[in-house]
Amino acid sequence: MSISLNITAWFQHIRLSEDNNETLMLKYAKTQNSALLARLYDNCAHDLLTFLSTLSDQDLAEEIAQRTWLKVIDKAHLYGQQGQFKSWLFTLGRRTLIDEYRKQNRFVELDEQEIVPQAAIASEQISTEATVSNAELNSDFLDAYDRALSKLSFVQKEAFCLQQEGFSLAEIASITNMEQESIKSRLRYAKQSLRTALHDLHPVVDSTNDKVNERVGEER
Amino acid sequence: MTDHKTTNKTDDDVDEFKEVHNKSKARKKSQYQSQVLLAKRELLLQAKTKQRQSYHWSEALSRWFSYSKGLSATAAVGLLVIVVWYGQIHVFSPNDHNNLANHYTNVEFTRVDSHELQSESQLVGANFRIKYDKAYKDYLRSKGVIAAHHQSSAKLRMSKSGWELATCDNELIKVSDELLSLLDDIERIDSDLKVGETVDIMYAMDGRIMQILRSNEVLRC
Repeated sequence: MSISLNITAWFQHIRLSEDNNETLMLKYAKTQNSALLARLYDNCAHDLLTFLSTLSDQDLAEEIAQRTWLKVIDKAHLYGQQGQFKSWLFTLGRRTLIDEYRKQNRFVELDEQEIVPQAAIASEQISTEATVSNAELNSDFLDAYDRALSKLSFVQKEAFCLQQEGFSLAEIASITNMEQESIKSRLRYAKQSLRTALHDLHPVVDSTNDKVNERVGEER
Repeated sequence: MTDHKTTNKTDDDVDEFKEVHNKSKARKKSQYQSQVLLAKRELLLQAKTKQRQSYHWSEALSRWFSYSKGLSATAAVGLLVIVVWYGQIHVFSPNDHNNLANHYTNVEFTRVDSHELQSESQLVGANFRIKYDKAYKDYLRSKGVIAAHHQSSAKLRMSKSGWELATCDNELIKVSDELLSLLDDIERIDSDLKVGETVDIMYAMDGRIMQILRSNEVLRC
């Protein structure tokens, strides 16, 4: 009886460890088993695509996402055990996107000069007629949010989206190859812009907006 | 989906946009669903192609190694069996003596001596041979009274290569024409010997044949 319980626990342990992205990737790098890649894809593809679509348009995001996954296949042997798989995936995706922008001669501002609060620009784009309650985030509000997000600078968008994906400051700094202090600053300005843009639409955002505005004012 | 634990939060209000961001993401997910599935299919096709390629090189190699391991193991076991079997038939036991005796009975001649003029192949040049023949003749003549070291009996046989003397010790002594003529010169051989007759062979101390004469007794082995 105890043996069967132990075996069951062992299989559960195996299954749990297989669910981990890092374990899956290490196994994939070793075996090239496409079933493992499929599981990784299921776990991370949508997050990557959303991130890339925020930094570009949908068509380009799809293409870049696909290229990124092809790089995962080709560079699987380069994946190190240290670090999270998703962090590595997003680093590949971001670099691929920036390379594509450079090929197309599209200018991507990656230095600090671009970090300017753009609340004024964003707020102009948002319809003030749309209002929502605390409990409800309707389609108009989501549209307004997407528009406000799209109006942020490239570096602010990427820092903000990466944080929303759950990456730590250190991980964001690693993915973007920047100092953590710069990331902090980008995040602060990004959120300030979003708050301003969504001021009239979301009371929850509105309530915290004043506190942050005060803090930003003090810092200046 | 997200399996990260966020640390080093910069603001207290990180979750301020969490809800709206997640809802926006979920909405995009439903929009992108079909494209994502198509892209996945395409990607997996490429991955399988790569998997097949890697199979050709790595899997085939590892399979070959496993096969060769099996082959080596089989060969090693086979070799071991052969060694043990071979060792067993050569380990003497009391019962083997009879078999051994039968074995030797079946073999007619186990030793072939060629009594020629002392390893002719090693003698280079006709002069040397002439000198050697003369020396041997002198040697035999000097033994005016035969001082044979030992003697044996043999049956006279004829083969393609000439005269042969077969002893009961399974020895076959080939006698060259040169030696016959030499012995004949010094009258140390009966001239009217016939095939099947028994002869007595006298040897010097160093093993050289000094005389071949007809025996009065019939050799019975």
